[in-house]
Amino acid sequence: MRNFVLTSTSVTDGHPDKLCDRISDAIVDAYLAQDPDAWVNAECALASGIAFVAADAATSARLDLPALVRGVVEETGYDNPEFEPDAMTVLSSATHPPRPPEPKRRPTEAVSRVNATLFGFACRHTEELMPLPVTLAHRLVRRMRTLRAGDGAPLLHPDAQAQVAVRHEDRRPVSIEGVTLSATLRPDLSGLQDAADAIREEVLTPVLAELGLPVAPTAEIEFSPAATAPRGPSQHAGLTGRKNDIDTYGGYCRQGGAALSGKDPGRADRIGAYAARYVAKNIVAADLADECEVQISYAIGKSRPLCVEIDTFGSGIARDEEIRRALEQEMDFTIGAICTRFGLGEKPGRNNGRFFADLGAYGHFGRTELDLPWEATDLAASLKRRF
Amino acid sequence: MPIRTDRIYRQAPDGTEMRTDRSPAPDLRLTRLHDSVAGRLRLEVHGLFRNPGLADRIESTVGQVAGVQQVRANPLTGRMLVRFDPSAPHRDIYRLVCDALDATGTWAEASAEPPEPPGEPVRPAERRKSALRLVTAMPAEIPPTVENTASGDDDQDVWHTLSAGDVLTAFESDADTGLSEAEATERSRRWGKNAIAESPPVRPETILLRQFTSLPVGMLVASAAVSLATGGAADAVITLAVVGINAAMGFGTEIGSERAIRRMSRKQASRVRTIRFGQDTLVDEADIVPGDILALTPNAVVAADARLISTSELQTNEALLTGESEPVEKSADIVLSRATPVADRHNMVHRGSFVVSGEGRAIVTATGVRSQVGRVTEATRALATPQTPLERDLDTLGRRLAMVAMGASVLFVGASLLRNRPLFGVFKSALALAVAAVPEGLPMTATTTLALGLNALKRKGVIVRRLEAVEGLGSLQVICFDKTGTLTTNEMRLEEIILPSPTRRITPYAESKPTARKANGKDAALSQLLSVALLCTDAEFSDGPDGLRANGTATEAALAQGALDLGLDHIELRDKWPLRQAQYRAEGRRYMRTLHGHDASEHRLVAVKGDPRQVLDLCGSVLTPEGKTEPLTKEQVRIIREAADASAGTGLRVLGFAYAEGADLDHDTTDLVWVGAAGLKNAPMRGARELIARLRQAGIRPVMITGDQAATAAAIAADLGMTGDQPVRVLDSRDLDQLDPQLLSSVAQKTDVFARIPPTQKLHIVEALQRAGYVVGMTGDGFNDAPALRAADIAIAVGKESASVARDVADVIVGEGDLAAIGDGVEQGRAILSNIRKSVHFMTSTNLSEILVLIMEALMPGDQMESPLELLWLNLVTDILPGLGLALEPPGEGIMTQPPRRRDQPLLSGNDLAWSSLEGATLAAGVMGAHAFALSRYGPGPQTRTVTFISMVTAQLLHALTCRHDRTGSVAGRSLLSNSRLNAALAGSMALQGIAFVSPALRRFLAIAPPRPADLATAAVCGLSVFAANETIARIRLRHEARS
Repeated sequence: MRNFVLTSTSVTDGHPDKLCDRISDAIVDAYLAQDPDAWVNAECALASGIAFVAADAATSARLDLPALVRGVVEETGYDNPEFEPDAMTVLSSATHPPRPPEPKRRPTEAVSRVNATLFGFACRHTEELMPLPVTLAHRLVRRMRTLRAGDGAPLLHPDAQAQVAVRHEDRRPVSIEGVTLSATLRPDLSGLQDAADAIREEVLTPVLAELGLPVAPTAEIEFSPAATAPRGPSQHAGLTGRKNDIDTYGGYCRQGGAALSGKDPGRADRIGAYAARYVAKNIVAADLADECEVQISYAIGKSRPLCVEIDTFGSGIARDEEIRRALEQEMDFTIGAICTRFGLGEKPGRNNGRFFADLGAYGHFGRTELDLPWEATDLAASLKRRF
Repeated sequence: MPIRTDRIYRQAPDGTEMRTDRSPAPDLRLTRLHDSVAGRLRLEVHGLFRNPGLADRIESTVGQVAGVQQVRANPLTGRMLVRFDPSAPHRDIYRLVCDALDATGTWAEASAEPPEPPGEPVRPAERRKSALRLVTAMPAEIPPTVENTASGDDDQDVWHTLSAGDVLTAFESDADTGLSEAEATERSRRWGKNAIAESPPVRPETILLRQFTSLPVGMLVASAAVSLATGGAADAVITLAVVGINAAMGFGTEIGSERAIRRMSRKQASRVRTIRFGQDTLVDEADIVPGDILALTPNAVVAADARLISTSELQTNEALLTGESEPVEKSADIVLSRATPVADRHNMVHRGSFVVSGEGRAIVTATGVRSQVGRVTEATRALATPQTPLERDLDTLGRRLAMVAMGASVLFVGASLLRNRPLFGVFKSALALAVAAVPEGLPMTATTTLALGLNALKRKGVIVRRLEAVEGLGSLQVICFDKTGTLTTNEMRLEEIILPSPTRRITPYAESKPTARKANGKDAALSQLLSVALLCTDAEFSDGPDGLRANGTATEAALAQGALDLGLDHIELRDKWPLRQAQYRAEGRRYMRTLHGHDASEHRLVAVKGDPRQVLDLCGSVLTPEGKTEPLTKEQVRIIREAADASAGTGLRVLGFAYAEGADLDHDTTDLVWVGAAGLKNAPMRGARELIARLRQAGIRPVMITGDQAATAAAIAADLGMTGDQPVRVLDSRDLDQLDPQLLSSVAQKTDVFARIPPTQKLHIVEALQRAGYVVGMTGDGFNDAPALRAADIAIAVGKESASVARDVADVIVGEGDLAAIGDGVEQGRAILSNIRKSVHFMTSTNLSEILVLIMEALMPGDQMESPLELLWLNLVTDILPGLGLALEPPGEGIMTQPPRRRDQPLLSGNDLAWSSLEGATLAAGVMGAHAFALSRYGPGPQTRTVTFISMVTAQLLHALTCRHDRTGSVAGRSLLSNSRLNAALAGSMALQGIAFVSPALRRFLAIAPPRPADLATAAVCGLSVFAANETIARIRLRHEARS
């Protein structure tokens, strides 16, 4: 498929699904801050103003889960009674099973705890080597979140979303076919006019201008203030891991089934996805291809991946097979090696207890404003030397 | 939820830093935001927000400026966008726009409507509301009356939203002079005494009346009335005598409990420091009126709800009100939003709390029943108490039996009339039928059993108010425990000490004392930490029976006690470093600082204790075990924080300690020396762990309700073994009443710990569990527990010191140290339930057999029917003793290992009734066999009746043994005659029966003849064969039930 229109979506951090992701990752952060080797599996569901939180953590660290959940919810802007009249109720349970004996000091022997197939991707659409549609959607929703009313408080409800349709020719974006923004005004401002105007002027225009992509003459650009649409965690339900495409590449490439949030970085289905992005980005950054999709598969109890495959969609300077072989020379794909390379377990502790929670909205990839090891292009130079 | 007001816009939407320094702009009303794109200028216009009119005027004015192509002014964002000829410089356009707005006078209009001042704490909508409230809140407009405040109307609750000055004005009082005596008297007359009426003691008449309200008793009284109407004076007298004995027994037991409860609540009036007429005077608590100025000093009891007008590091303990045992900081200077929960109203003090430290003055805003305490008390009195399961069951049973009796009588009358019997005889027989159907012995059996159970519990330190509550304890499926004061004591204990560089954890009470003391001698940081804990404290020491005891707030006492136990000499230490000055915690400053040293010497020591993060921020170095100080690195700060967080995560209350030599309190220093942190914990109440284990084994789910943080509560719950090896599920909410009740019900079934629950919402949890179909018990000690206690099926007040309103609504009161006795109560209740079930089973089957016999006799030729008197004799004299005997069975072995019966499960299920009917039919068949035999032998006459009568008695008495099978009891291996009380009862009944035959008077009364030996043999054959048949049926039944 070389000529197509692809739509990608993004939602703000106030969307209940994303809120669940951030809560789950804040739990991961908090455990890792106390114990970088903790095994964590945190799940969150929101419904009817209740947050159901279950943490399963093999560690000696202990948390005040409800306080943590409240912290995330308030940080997201739901401390404002205009958006969320009722304080959240939190139903939490934490299990702390003993960890099976593991050669902790020899990380090379770490094995996968799950069966997982992961995909990573990179292409030249944007500076951060991400597909254009999802990047555009992220920028739009982020811009919506910073939108202020005349009194300095947010203009829009924290729960908003954007969808963009981008026409591609020969797998390159050529024009924007449509943009839909969906948001609700702060309730106390709902009587005022010109909301669509403000959004067009402050969100759409600058973001579209930044990318410099022509807007197709037939494009439909819509803003629905959707004043009656249910918004926020007391109104519609949310669940951890429901927004996989938003977390990754907006549906531009193949997609693994596993969610990223709420898992400690020793889990193959999390760190594997980061590793796949890392090598895909480095291949593109090394100018070995214009775009690259990487597939990695792990099996329970194995430390090595079952396979590592790449697809450059015909854009490679060499055959995919050759690039793959060069890659395997440069990069050790065993779980332990990736863990050591990225050092993610220590990140929250070094970063004031906050690392993964920031990934909870606006995607895990292409986030140049965060210091993400899988976005580094430090492998590119040595890869390039092999050709 | 606080409204965040500190979000002042600092970033333009494109992410570039907004120009916060506005000096280059000539006009503050117009701020340049974005001018990097040629031909576009974005401006922020003050006064434009929410002002569409101004937007229109700006658009028309600026649109006419030369070079401007398009203008959009947005009242939503308060900004305007000017598009202009791209060749023109931004500066020129900006200038032209300003000039145009000035020239046309648009500015003047904008200024007429002043823009929101930045940082305004209240939003416009909010402010409008509060202005309104101010008006309604004025006493002049609506004087607070008993009617409009005690009814739970919260409209009077505005004082925390107003400044102290406004409150003073509203009450026409003065902070320095207070009220005049005359004014105080006038107000006292108008608004009443500052007193919450003790609930009047339950009057003896009420208790007496209560004995006659149950349905079975009602049926007895009714049957006596019918007897009297049909000429059966003797029947009526006997029946009423039984009713009287029953009532006397119930009354005697209950009044004893009531008196015991009354003896606990004796309170004496206290006098309160108040400013009246400019004088600091002591006023009787009851004479405090709204507008009075209270002078608050340490240990003063707050006599009424009051708005603070001045404070100096004031801390109060509001445990009675909120259940929170830690002192709360108070400040006069804050103004709160309306929705602030009572527990967070830091500018108010409330009746029932007391001053821990600091001083302050407050103006009284609500007294007596209008205070928070008063309102809860009043509201609680208005709530209805649910019926206990037994009351409900006996009523249902009574109703059913009444229907059976009526039905049988109607049937019988119909059949008799068809056979053309004389009317009078028919009615007399119908009456006999009715008497046969009513289990006359049941109320007596139930009352006696319950009374005995109640007295047994009293000996174990559990006072039960009502008889039915004894059985209620046995029916409990869930018990909600208020944590503080019930599961945990109000005291704390030093659980661990975390020392820095390198991190070491010491658990003072886990190790033996000498070991810990030795550690103290060796480790400089440890002894320094303990010294700081002993210096920076208000704790005092007193000699107790087990050595020196530290007294003070729970936290300080625990720390000081820990320091003593680890071998510190407080006298020597305090001699060396006498206290010179103390600075307590205050809003935003979560630590306490003290300055020590002798006047003469230059040597000074500052000791600091408090929130570990805040204290750590003040530190520049850290103390090593060798007693050296080394600079605090970032890495060390991280490690210390993690260690403190980890301890807090396990439910400990963590405090950090630091000191500085040669410093003083005047300026905030950042070069303190960090010595470590200490973790404290609420100690579990004696017997709590055992009780929880026992309840869990008995299938009763313990649930904890607390205002504490989730981590603390979960840790205690795990510690007490509330969930066994399952994870503790914690529900954390401050707004339970916002949840859908159905949802809360389903969630509550899965929750072990309810954390951070405001006291007023405990009620919702109890109700939610009841809605889910559980029989719910609630334990509590504070007055804030009273509504939940009232709603619970069984309310258990813990502690003889508990709030009087909690005791007033309690069904059961246990002493603080006797918590485990709740388990005994449950066992007692279950035993009683199981035994009453046996009695009921016995009585239904025997009564049914009587009905069947009567009907069959009526259908058989000869008309030899039992008289009503005979049946009364049977039911009252011969049945009561076996019934009692059954009711006094010792508790079955498995009684505390089986799950409780479900709420919707009746005392006897339909299945049970079917089985007992079958047994009744067997009884009837046997007796009819004897009857037929006698009829064939003697023909109609007294001798036949005698045979029937004696056969019936024998069969019924033997049937009592069969009824020892209980649905829940273990039957296998049971020996038939193991219940000696039942054996005695049976023997007694036999003897009574013997008297009836021996005594000529009784014989005449019952219209029977003396039995012949052959008759006795007939009766024996009848009784034994019926017994054999029913035993077989019982075995089949038990096997059947075991299978299903």
